Amino acid sequence: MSDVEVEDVIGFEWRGHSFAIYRSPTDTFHATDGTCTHEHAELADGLVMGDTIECPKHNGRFNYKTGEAKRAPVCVNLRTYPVKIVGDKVLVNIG
Amino acid sequence: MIVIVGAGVAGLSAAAALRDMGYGGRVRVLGGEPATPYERPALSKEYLCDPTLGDPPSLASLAALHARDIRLDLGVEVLSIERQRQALLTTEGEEVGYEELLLATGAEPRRLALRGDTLAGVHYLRDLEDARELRAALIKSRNVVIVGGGVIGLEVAASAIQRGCRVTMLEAAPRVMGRIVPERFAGMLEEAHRAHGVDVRTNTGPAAFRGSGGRIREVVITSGAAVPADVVVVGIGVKPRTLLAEGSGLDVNDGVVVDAAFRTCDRHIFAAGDVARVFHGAAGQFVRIEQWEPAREQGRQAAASMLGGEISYRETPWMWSDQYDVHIQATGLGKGTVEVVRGTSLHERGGISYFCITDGRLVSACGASVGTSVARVIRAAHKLIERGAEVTVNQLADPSVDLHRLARAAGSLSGT
Repeated sequence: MSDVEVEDVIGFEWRGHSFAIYRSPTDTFHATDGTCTHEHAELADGLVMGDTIECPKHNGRFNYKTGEAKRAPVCVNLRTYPVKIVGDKVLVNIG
Repeated sequence: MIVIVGAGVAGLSAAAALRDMGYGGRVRVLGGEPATPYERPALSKEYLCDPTLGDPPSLASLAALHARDIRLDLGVEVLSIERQRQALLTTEGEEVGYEELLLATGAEPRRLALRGDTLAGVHYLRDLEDARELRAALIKSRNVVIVGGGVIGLEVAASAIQRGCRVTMLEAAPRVMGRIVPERFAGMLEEAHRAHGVDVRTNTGPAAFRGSGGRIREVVITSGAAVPADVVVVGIGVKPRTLLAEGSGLDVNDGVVVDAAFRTCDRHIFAAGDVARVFHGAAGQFVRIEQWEPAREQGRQAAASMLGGEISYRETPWMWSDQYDVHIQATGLGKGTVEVVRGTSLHERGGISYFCITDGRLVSACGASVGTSVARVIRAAHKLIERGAEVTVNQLADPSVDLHRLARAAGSLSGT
């Protein structure tokens, strides 16, 4: 949990697939696919503002809690994953 | 009815915004090109690099426009604006009435007035048709000469190198991109291009294009030397498409002059995007910006203004470029009085960025990195500029200081 700051994002890879974990301003944790649905930029290089993650490359935006595409040039929603906090760890269910 | 002339990013974002804001009247977009509206940024980058790639992504699908009851007519040239009658005349002879009119006609490449510039093999790059022709012309081992070391020239140079061409770049100024970024940043970029094999020649330009059989063969440069060329790409800037505005007596000065609400001197006519010279509230001066993101934003704000909203444009411009595996971003207006550098290498996390400060506040920033990690720095700088945050040289220069956190703190102070 301490690896990601409040209102920020980090990325990780598992079996060649990239994921992003977000810590919201109200200290909740969320997870999505790690790359933008537009041109696959790493979202972990982007900025978190409130419920929104900005794609680093072209400033497309998603709601990282719902995955909803919020601003051009992105138009395809982002896949989200359920998370669970166990102790000081964030577990992502990538099912 | 609201009529929008121009189906680029400014025009179409305006059309979408009208519906987003609940406008229920008729919306009609008149586009000059025959192609379904598409994203232009890719044309000089991935589209040129990869001949197997399909058409660039569309800006708005025809189905989506239809679903929102936005009428799009393509391949339409507007001949004149009849301001008294609030109507447009098209070259087809159609008269299109409007209550409010948005001019989003964009810009077109400046032409070189040079002997031989009509030879086959001399290219300009603006629209999809240009890009198709250039892409087909870039064949491995070809000699490519790029005239102009601006963003387009640099992107095309990178694409041509990636296609296996031999590339020579001619830039009139002492540095590439020198007019819009700090000199040291330009120097670094120039070195990156040299490292990839571009023969960058500054303080020079073409004196003549020579050909045989109607095709370009070589470019004679100002020193008198000849550079072999199968393909020449001229990227020496653009000029706004203001003919329509001029012909109808609107105020034009390197762009259609509009106030901070995107309104021309005619209260029913607005302009946005590359064609507009708009009053920028934060900069306190008129600016004309030739970038994708500001065009998108200006289109949206012009739409709000056409619907009677109180708009005062003050957005901080932001742009990106991709050259090889280097991602570049720049934001802000003006060069400032103090220059700060952050980072030492394109390869380190965050890359290298340059900041310009005036009176303790950031006014502009640009940076580059291999991969996209520079985005965190420049997007945060964008927010610091928008929020008018006070920053110190030490904060900016120290890569361990998280600018995102600074921007957040500034946001909570200013309540934005």
